[in-house]
Amino acid sequence: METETMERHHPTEALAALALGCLDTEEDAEVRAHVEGCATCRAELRALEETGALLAYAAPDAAPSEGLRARLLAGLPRRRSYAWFERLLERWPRLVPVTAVSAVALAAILGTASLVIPLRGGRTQELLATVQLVRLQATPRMPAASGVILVPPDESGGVLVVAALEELDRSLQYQLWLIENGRRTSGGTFSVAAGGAGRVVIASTRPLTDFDAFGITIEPFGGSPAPTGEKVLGGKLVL
Amino acid sequence: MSIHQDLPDPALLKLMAAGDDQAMALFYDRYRREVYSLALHVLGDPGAAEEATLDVFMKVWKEAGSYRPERASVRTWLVTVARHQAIDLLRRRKARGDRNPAQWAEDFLEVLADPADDAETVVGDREIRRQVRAALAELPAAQREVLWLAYFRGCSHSEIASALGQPLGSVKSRIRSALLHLRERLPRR
Repeated sequence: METETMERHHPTEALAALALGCLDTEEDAEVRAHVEGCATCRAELRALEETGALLAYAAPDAAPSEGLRARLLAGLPRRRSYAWFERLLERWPRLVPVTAVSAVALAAILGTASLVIPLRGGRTQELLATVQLVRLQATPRMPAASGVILVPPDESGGVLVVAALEELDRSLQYQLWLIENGRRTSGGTFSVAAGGAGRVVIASTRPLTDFDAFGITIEPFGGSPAPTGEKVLGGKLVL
Repeated sequence: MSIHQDLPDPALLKLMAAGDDQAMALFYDRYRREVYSLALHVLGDPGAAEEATLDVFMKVWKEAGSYRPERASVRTWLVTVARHQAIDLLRRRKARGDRNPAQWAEDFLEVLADPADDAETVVGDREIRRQVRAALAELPAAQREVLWLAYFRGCSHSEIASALGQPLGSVKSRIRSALLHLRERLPRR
């Protein structure tokens, strides 16, 4: 338990230097060790760090070149949290590449309980057994479309795989909706490749198991705050 | 307009941790100027500053899931990452390593006198920039100098003491006095 006594020495002067990261190595380690066990100094250090960060505003304002944004977005590495999905695809030849899977084949794969059976290794079978699947049903708007949501075991998000969706006009995109008691939250927007296939990492600040259903609608490019277009796929999560 | 437009920074980081590149794009749009300006001021070279800026946002993307709100605001966390990145690059390049620390301090005074903000500077940022410069200008020159060398030059307090021929204790106490003054004069964000 942390103890605070009148005799305790708080390294007040060193805290300011620590906040700016300019203590020498040995003293830096000593002061950090003290801060770890001292709530008073932790609070003081945080306040000094917040103040120190304002110094960045003393630099003259300037903007990077327009091309830097595109370079950043093009170079983003795939999320580590979805390594499970990459492993799954590597070990599941019938889904690699997704764009080569026909709607019929995907429906066959997704529509049977044999999903976890025709696998090579026990490790993959084990992995798949922990992934929850939500099959999305087509609506009359696109009767050939199919899709599935894979909810990973760590509940950190999920992946949507779709097939045979129509290619949309450039002004439109598909938008995934996460539905909880009838309330819809956006799970992200996406477009599909030629042939109508796509694989999308689902954007959610909450576990997908918090939701009871999912739907996909056609929306203006960039998405809408709430559904406005036609529904093309939908499905319920059964726990 | 992005559907994430109104989300606060911590929510954007959560979405980035889940792999949402739209959230990354919006976060970049919010902070690109601040990160780049800091990197440019530390490095003095637009090309190097862009590389540092790219590295900073890549790092944010990779480490978005490790952000802890109880430790620092998102802005402070980001600025700290940006400053370390720029100073590390500065040390590697040694591009300006042969300059006299006293010259750096003079440069800083010039910056305070002539902020040279871009016409596109966001109005809110312009006001906080003005407040920071005003608070810095109120400091005694000796405090401003050590603050400058520590923050933008990445000098340790013993390096500063050696460069300025001052006792170590004086350097530490000047840094503390300067930060306390700024804390008193600047609004919490």
